[in-house]
Amino acid sequence: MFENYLNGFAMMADWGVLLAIASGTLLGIVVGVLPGLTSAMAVALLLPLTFGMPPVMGVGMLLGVLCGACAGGAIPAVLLNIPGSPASVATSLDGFPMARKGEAGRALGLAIVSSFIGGMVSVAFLSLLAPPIAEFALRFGPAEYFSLSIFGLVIIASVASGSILKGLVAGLLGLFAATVGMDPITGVPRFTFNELSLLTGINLLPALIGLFAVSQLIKDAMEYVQGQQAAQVASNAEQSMSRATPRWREVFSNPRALLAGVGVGSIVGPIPGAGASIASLVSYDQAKRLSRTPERFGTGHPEGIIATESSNNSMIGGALIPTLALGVPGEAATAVLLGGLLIQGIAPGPALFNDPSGMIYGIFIAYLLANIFMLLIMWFGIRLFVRVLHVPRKLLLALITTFCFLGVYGVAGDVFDIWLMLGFGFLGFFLNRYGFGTAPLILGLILGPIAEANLRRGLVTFGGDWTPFVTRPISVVFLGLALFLLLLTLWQNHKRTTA
Amino acid sequence: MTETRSIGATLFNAAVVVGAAVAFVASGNLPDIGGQGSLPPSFFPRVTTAAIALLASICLIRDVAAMYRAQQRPCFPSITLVGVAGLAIFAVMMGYALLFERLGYILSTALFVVTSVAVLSLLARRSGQEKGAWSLRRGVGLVVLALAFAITIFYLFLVGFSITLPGLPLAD
Repeated sequence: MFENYLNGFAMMADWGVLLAIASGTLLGIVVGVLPGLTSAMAVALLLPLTFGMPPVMGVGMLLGVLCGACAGGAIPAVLLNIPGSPASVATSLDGFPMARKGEAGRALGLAIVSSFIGGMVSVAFLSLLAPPIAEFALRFGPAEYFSLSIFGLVIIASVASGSILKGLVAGLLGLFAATVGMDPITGVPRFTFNELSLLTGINLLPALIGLFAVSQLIKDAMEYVQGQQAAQVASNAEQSMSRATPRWREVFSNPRALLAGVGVGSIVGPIPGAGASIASLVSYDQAKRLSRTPERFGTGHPEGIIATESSNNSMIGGALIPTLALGVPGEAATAVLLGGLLIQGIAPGPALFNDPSGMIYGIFIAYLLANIFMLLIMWFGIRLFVRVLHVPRKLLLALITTFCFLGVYGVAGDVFDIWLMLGFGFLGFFLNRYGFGTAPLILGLILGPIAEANLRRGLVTFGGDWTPFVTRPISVVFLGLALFLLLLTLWQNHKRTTA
Repeated sequence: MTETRSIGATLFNAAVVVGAAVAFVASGNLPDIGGQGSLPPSFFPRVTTAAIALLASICLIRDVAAMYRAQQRPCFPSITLVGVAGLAIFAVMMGYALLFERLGYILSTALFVVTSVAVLSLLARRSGQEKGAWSLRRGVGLVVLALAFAITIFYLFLVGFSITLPGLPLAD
């Protein structure tokens, strides 16, 4: 075990790898600082750059984005009362009042340390819990993998959109899109319309960038014209940042808030679909309950910032557990990360944990380093990130769009991929607008080949008999859980509409 | 019936139902190869499209029923300035895709950056979100910035990542 971790550290002993993780973290922070840009979008945009990289380097870069985006969201939350990411919603409750008192530097200093501690706890949580879960998954056969795919799809459909029916429609659209290309068993081309580029199926990268970046850019352009994101860089952003240094002593002198933050984040993280926004809001509430001075919450209380920022970073590691151990992500950003791992040729699941190269331990260490880089970059670069808020929004939107085109074209040099990206972007825009969500579609696209291949292989193995899918214990547990979740969400939706 | 309600969501649901039905029928044209307990290639597309059609129909019916319950009058989505912005930016993106290989990366990118910034500026002014006069200096600055950005990225990809992007049209 110890040797595996040493091996993981050895994989990091390369300037290129360290630079990739640091630049991923830096980009993540920039994305976190800019309201409207999501970590899922940043991971999708960065995927093409990681293509030519060794897997550990590429995955480290993507993990850096996740880590940085979560922490960076605190900057606009504190300075402008606009959370840079959903994870920072609760940070603004005390961060902004503190900034209005002229203590923006102190608020950011608390946020930096709390994010770092939360991140480090989540590294420990991930590396302790993921291996036994992956070991358990070694018992899975075709029936179990098919059921797991259905379970994963139901989870994301129930949480990633306004209604489970719409979420399921989006997930099924993804499953259908996954059937485009040559049939995996017989080699028959399906829905390719004589287009050679479609013979190998729908390329994941244009779909990811289209659904998560292009659709968001169209929405952002509309919001820009509407004035929702127009130059909101208030005088707060001009405040002195001289005191924005890590506040270790102050964070550790509030152990209740810190424990509430990392505790809630670690528990909520692995729960599929719970997300960082829920983790930070629940931890804020818990910290308030545990506090000796609950009446000060909402007025610029340090405990509010410590709890929320430690919580949203500590949930990332938890969210990575089902993604890495089972190949089933629980929310959009990890769904995109999963797509990135597949593009890199890394198949998440038990095989990854038994890979002789010890890749998974490299990933754990890369995530640990991403947290350290996050601390250093936020500490020394905070003034620079505040300046990012001054870049004209319309110019930023145009430049990000060019990166989408560049990324998609640069990989295969095929302009068809650009059209595919635009098609998915257009579809994604309407899916989001009408409450279907894009995360279920991408998960359907990822899980589709797994579900179809395992269903068909399973049927061949069982001689055409369907019963093992519903009688094998693990398979029936997954299907039962999926059914339970489906009924529970339908019941909750019904209760909400009749209330 | 006094209030009106946009049928944008209803139209989208209907489009999904129709699309799924078309795909279901098209799945039937796939060769029926199977045997030995295996499923034919049409099985998965048929099941998924049938499920999409069914669930999207339920969404559609619920949407229409909610409209009638609330006694709202259906109306087509109105064309607002914000909607025009969405369509315009998407149209500019399509133009960029069309010109990407024809004009080459540098020219098409610079053109895209200038056009999209100009379109957003124009629409933001119309909606009153942006103020201040147009100036030649700003326009020239934007063109220079767009060209500098495109050239930098082109050579960064060429030298740094060994990825050749479409060059200048005259160079081909």
